[in-house]
Amino acid sequence: MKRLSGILIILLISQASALARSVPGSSLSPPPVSSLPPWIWAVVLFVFCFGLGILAILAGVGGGVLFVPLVGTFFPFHMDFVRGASFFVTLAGSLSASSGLLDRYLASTRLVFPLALLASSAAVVGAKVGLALPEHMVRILLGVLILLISALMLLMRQSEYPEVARSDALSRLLCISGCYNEHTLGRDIEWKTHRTLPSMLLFLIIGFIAGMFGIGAGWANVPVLNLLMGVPLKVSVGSSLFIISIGSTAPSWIYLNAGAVLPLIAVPSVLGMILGSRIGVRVLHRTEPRIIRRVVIALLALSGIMSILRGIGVL
Amino acid sequence: MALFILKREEKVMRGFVLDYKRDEQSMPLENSVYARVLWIASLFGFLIAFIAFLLYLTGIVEPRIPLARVPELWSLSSREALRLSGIPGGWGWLHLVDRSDMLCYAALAVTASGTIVALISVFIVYLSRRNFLYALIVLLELIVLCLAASGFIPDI
Repeated sequence: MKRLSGILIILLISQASALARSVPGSSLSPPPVSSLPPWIWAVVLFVFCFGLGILAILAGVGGGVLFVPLVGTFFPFHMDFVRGASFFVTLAGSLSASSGLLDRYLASTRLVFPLALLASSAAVVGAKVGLALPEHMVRILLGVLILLISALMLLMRQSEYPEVARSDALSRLLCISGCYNEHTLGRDIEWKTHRTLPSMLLFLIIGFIAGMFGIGAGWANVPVLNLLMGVPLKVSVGSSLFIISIGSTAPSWIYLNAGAVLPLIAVPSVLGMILGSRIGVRVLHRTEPRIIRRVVIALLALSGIMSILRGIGVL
Repeated sequence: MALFILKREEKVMRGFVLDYKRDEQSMPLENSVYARVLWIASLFGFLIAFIAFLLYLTGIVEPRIPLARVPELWSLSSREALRLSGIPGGWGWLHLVDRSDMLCYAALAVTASGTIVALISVFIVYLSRRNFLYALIVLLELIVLCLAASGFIPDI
């Protein structure tokens, strides 16, 4: 299975590089018009996103954080359309997961709604700012952000069941607490939160960044919920997906209204990512997630560097 | 639909509370209502997107922008692409929904509306339970999403 994952990653990169080369002009900065029939791009994008969907699940990262830097680097699309498609990829992934997570109490509406309100409001502003920025600036900033995310993923240690001695006043006012059944321990885990106000302020910043780059927000949501607010890891992951489902809705409308969504890019990406995620869940227990996660971090770092190089005009 | 699901979930929850002796705090009704509505709405959106895209790709329904012209647009900024394609911004695509590419737009809009529909159902749950604080939070969220969807927010 390790070999299969390795092959999958190599195939993804080689496929994308071959496509970039198939367009006349420089190797990674294709000119506006492609020599390939458009439907081929739809099929390739579907296959590419199918692979990304599997990788995202195996590596425990969101689809958007892989989609924007990789598709933005290896495909000849303007960043507006890449981000526009990414919002729908992120939205589709989180929507299909949210209902199941809520059913199993791995996400709490009382935790999510106040945070999602702040994140989605900031995401609207972020989306507007992102659309106003010149493309090269978006690529440079995205590259820097992706490198930071790679470092965060490499260094961050999460806590399975954080200790919260006493919930704060804001948390009590909003009744943010819950209980879920932990199968591995065979008992119910009760949880409550603290440091609610600083976490809310952080969600404003996270929402803004997610809206600006279309990369989802799981990479930041989970550490804030888990390490700062003291939410158990499983509930943090579930609630984060739920926050993303609301937080991505607002900027996806902004991009749709701005004409920054091309069906030929967005629809095959969404369908590929959904199918890939489903397959990823099925093969998850047969893989070594730690190794795949490291490969994905390396892949992210590489795409971050390439994004910066494309932004400054080297590639 | 929301009221039907609300009634059904109330029955399910009563059964759950009797069976497992859980209190209401550990299993809020809004969770299950939101989950059900979100699942139905998003499934509906994905299904329409799939059908619309098949119609678009196969050419069964003619698109507004011919498929062969799309590569001319995808390396331009969204603003330039809109200008070049002649498609109106905002909700202008709604008038062209008989074309397959605009039908794909509609399908994506339906997918993005799933959250709004689910939030409206939860708003009803909170109001019926007199939880005015959360009803207000959800109402504000609905205002943010509807504002974003309206296209009234000016560009920077």
